[in-house]
Amino acid sequence: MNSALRTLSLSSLLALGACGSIPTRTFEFDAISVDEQPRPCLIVVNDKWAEAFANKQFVNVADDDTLKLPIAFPTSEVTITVAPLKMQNGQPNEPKSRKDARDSSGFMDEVRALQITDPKRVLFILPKKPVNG
Amino acid sequence: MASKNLVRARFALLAPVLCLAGCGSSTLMHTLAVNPPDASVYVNGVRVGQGSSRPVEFDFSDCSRICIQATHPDYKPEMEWVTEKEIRHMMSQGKDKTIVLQTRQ
Repeated sequence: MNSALRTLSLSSLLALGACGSIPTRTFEFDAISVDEQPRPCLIVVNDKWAEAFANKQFVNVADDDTLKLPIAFPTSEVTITVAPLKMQNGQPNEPKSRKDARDSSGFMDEVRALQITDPKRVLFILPKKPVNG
Repeated sequence: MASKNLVRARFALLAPVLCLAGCGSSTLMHTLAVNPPDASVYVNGVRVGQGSSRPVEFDFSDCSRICIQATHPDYKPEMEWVTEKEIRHMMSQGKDKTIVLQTRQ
């Protein structure tokens, strides 16, 4: 079976699995630094920052862990932002924007366009924020 | 009658085999190289090792593209997507998949 046909089949199966509603797929998110240490981060879907924080869409906050999150695909791509978190007394500070996340944590954020047929495990590798960045 | 039964039996045995063959193998083994050679490499979010070059399993059974990432403390992390078509093309050309990290400024 060629790759185009397989992609079509995979997309169709995933779409059918949604029973006519918006197709959804569960992804497992994780974030590390360039030296491969777990980084506390907030996983933001389609720029819904407040919703992400309220729903505790965190990785590596309480422990070295991942976040399994069902993602709805009303369009072919969904924007995922991984925002590094600043921890204070074991609790994450709420970032309001990408710049806020960068400035407070000292790490760069990353934005990725996710497709429903992408691999289920989604890893972000975050570099440190440049001194004058 | 006996020959009809034989044909049916043959079809019953053959049909699942044909279906399985139709699914095909979607896992490709291909060499993945990284520069600098001591960078760590991740495929679909899973660490596959450290070192200049290694054969890697590219499994497209559950995804339409594969995410390759490489990281090193002294370099900018790199991420690339590859499709089955691209891997097959590289295999036919005898070329490795290579990820090159850029130094941090």
